[in-house]
Amino acid sequence: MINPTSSISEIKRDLDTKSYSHTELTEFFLDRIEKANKKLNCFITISRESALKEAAAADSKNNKVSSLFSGIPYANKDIFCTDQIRTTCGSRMLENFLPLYDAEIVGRAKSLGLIMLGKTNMDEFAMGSTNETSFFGAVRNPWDLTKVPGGSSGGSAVAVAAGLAPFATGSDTGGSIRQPAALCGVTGLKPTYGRISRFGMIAFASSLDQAGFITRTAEDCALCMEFLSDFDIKDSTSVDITKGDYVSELNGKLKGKKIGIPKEYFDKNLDPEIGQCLNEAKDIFSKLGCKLVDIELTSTEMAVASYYIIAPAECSSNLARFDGVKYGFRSMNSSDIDSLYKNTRDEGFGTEVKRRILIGTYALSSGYYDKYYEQAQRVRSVIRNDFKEAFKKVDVILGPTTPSTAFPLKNGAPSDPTELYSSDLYTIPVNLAGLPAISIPAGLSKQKLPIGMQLIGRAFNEHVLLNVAHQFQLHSEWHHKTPKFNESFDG
Amino acid sequence: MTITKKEILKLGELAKIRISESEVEELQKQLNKILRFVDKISDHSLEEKHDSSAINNLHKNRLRPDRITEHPDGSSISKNSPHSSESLITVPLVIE
Repeated sequence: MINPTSSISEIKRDLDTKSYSHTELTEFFLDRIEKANKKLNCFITISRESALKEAAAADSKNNKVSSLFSGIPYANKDIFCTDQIRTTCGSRMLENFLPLYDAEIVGRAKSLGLIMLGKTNMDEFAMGSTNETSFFGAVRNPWDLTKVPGGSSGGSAVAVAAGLAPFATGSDTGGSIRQPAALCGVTGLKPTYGRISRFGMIAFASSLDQAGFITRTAEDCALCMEFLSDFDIKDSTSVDITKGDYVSELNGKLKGKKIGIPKEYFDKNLDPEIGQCLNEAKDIFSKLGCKLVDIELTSTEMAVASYYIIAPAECSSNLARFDGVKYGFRSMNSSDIDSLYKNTRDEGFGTEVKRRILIGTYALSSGYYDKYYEQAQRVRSVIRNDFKEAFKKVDVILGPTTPSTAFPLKNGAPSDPTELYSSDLYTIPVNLAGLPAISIPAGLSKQKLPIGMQLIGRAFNEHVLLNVAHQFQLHSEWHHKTPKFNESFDG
Repeated sequence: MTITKKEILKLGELAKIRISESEVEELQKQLNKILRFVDKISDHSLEEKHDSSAINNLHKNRLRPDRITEHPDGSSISKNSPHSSESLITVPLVIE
């Protein structure tokens, strides 16, 4: 009997004791995906054929891959290039794009014998917090099908929450792993900027983008970090720094650890129900011997404004490569090269992406660069200093991941583009400072919607974050809760 | 700071995105909303205290040796183009 919400180590144990074969396991998840996807729309591409081929190879007597991860199925956010498997980035622009190579993280997973089930839905080019900007349609939250799953890694978070994959990759530019993880009741880690290779991960805002994981538990996250993070010469921002011993450090005792509580994260912007859950979480940490320390992160409010200059500015530059010439979509209504570019980009990009490219172009244009981009970078240095000062006093910072629980799906883009900007209020400062942070389940609202707690650490201190998150999960049950939706498949 | 209709059309030229006359008004409203939102950062007191180079220096690229490590064949690259002929990528006439 296969349990769709087993942890990675449980699946590995079952595979080792031959409770089921790799093929049975892979088929089990593929069948679930095909059934659930009609309602959830969390996969853009299901790679049944290649997954079953890889599973058969893992079952064969000649299988020589003997890593801990061998035979574990997983899903990739559709932002990671997969060799000859469609990679869309949620956009019409790349609707039929077949990459010629694997992203580093995908290649690494392949060489360890992991089995890719498919590519998960996402906001177009990772721009959005609801997964509604995807060209392939909105994703639904399994906790309530009328609510958004968050974004941009909404498909990955839903796949894990609904028991369609043991874990999934994601990318986080302003909260795109942590926010959907929080709204879907799963664990999501955004590592330090430079910790995981971004080679083959389609670029959005290069000074902020970071690859990471959405898993069921902090323990699974530690396994992902252990096997899939490493220095990569092909990514010029990859940092050659010793990896933590993520798995063995999970069990360190928390006694004496100082946890910072920023007052700006618990003000009027926060839904009181979330505040209440986090108070209960704080009590658990106190009982574990942690010391709670009040801290200040005074520039939090300014972070969002600064992000909405930096991210569009960098995206306007990164997305210049989509011109309809070398790959991707091309408008066929053009008689000259200039109209080919303009028509291709008008028809290939969705509303939100075009808006961000235009505002980014404005912020970088002559006469406005210093007023906007440079000033935003100055704000960014203030935010970085705020965290630096805070980490002189504490080991980890605790706060909410999101100001509210999952909100209703809408048909079409909101008329006010800034309406959703504040939903990333607590996640954006972390990207601006390049720090690692994890979101873990910390409660359920009265409406039975998940509540996420965010833990922020010092740069390259993922091992500390995972240790603190794991100890919390040993003393709480929230990460074991699953949506009622899953029962329609589990029966 | 507000953005004019003329500036929006200019941005379309710079960003190579076709903007039709009928879209300009709505875009103007939306971009101005975004500008009002991000204008919060125009706190000039920051300029003396904080230097943007601290952040810019964090993102210096590390170069790797200029050696060919991948050898994809030309035909698979041109096949990736929405329009190709044999091993060549084709585009509308650029120079008469």
